Amino acid sequence: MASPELVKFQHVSKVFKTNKKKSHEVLKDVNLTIQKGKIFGIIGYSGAGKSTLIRCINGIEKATQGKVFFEDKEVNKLSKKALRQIRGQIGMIFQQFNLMPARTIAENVALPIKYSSLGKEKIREKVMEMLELVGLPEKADTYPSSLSGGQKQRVAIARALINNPKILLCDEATSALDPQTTQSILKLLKKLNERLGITLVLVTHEMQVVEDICDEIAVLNKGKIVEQGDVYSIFVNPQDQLTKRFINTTSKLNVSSSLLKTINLVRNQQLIKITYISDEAVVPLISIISIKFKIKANIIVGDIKMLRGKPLGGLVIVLDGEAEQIADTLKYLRGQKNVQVEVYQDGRFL
Amino acid sequence: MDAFFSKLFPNVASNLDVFNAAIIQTLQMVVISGIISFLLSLTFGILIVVTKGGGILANKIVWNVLDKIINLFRSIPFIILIAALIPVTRIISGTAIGVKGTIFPLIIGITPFFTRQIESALNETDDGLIETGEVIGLTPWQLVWSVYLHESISSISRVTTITLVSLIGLTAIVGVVGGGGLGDFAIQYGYQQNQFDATIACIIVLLILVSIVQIIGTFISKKATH
Ligand SMILES: Nc1ncnc2c1ncn2[C@@H]1O[C@H](COP(=O)(O)OP(=O)(O)OP(=O)(O)O)[C@@H](O)[C@H]1O
Ligand SMILES: [Mg+2]
Repeated sequence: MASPELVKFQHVSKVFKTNKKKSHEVLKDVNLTIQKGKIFGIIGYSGAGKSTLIRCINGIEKATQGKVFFEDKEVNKLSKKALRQIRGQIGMIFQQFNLMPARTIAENVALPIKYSSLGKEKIREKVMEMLELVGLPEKADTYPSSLSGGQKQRVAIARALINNPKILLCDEATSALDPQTTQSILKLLKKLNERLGITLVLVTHEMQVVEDICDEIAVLNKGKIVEQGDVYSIFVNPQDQLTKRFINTTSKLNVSSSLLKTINLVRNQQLIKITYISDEAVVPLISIISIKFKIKANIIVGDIKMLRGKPLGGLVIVLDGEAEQIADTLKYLRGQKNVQVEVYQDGRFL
Repeated sequence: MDAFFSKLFPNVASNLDVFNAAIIQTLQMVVISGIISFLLSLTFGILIVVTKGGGILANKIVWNVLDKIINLFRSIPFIILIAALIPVTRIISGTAIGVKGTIFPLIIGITPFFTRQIESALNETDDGLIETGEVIGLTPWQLVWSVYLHESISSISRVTTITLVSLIGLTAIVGVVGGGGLGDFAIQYGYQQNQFDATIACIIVLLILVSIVQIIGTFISKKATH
């Protein structure tokens, strides 16, 4: 029985010696497990060590301490030859695509199997199969310089997949692309994950990417994993400050204080924020409270979206009614298990 | 035509056989030492790129030895180098004069410069491409062949052009010390016998030679750029 764990980091540290005296600890006691078939996101600011971490998986970087496993093999103990073999099972794509400018698209895609025992025709056949998969068969005999960024990344994906790898490492694969192209590449990656069952590791600094396709995430801050878990629980209940900051980048619920100042609250009005914190059935809260407590509820900002089929986000609303009605409403809302209620007081939500 | 030529270049016309032989000698020197030093420089250039710190076959000792030798030979003026090499040239070529005697000093004179040129051409290869080669599991020599060399064809042909032009210059210098060729012709007839037309004729032939080299180089370089 194959274990469902594909990649495992055990107490991994990585130190770069910058010169004889100084050294720089880029990864600090990293522990993580990537399950087969999952889409695993690694998020962090520039310089956090994301690239270093992902490169430990295929042995381009060697851990200074600790162990990195790919299936049952300890990557940092493999011989050069064994490492090259294992790299056949680990595809990788980059922010800068890294296509060979002097080779045609077909030659680029064929490069990983150029020195294999496969014949020319078999190679061409596989190349075309991969180009079909990424939707670019007609570009086979052109050169990379004639492609757009999104098309280049598709070719890079085709090249990374030609060896039928078990895992695809994506280092900021969409960071050089516009939002629309990013979406189409993410869609393609998702399709590959679903159709081929290939495990994906996505390194990014954009929370939107994580929100769009990841199953699990690890948040990296200055070489340390500060938080990891499944995407929904992290989105609804982030613990670390950095995670919160990243999540805020994808939420429209963060009403700026300048906007709040423009809302003139009169007596008997209360500004509140409701956020979903669990995936229990969504109930029409606004209509329930307005009927039940005869209160007016004006929505100032609303941002509710579905994340993997579960509600995420919330509403900023002004409750308008007698003090008693407002108190009852708040009590009712606080009794709801799937939402969190914050009340605006002294210039912030508490 | 012949009459016209004899009028413009009277001294060349009267020594036409010698002049033609000089052209052939120059071509022999350029082609033979060019090919050999190209192969040597390519080898040394590759070695110095792969063995440098952080290179795909990093090796401090090999790199340091190559680096120092190249610098040593580059610092010796060519005319002194020829003189210094005479005993070795005699052993290797059997003679230190004539075309045969020039090949060895020409190779030693041009290879260090050529190696540096090849090195800089190979170093233009984007690090991302090298990393990609490693990621897809290429061996170091597959990397050299399929990434470094393949991606540098255009730059290599550019630096080869530059080097060949320098080499043509060196063939004129070896002429002075008994090597024959156009340099020898220009000195013997043009300079020592005050036949200015001989010098001009040499210049014209050398100019044509350099132009041909440059046209071919540019053509290959363009062809290899996509
Ligand atoms: N070969 C190296 N030698 C020395 N320091 C290095 C080396 N590679 C990376 N670093 C340092 O390690 C730190 C983390 O680098 P890394 O590339 O992993 O960050 P990152 O999270 O991928 O950043 P980015 O989002 O900018 O790509 C940086 O401070 C970088 O300067
Ligand atoms: Mg990075």
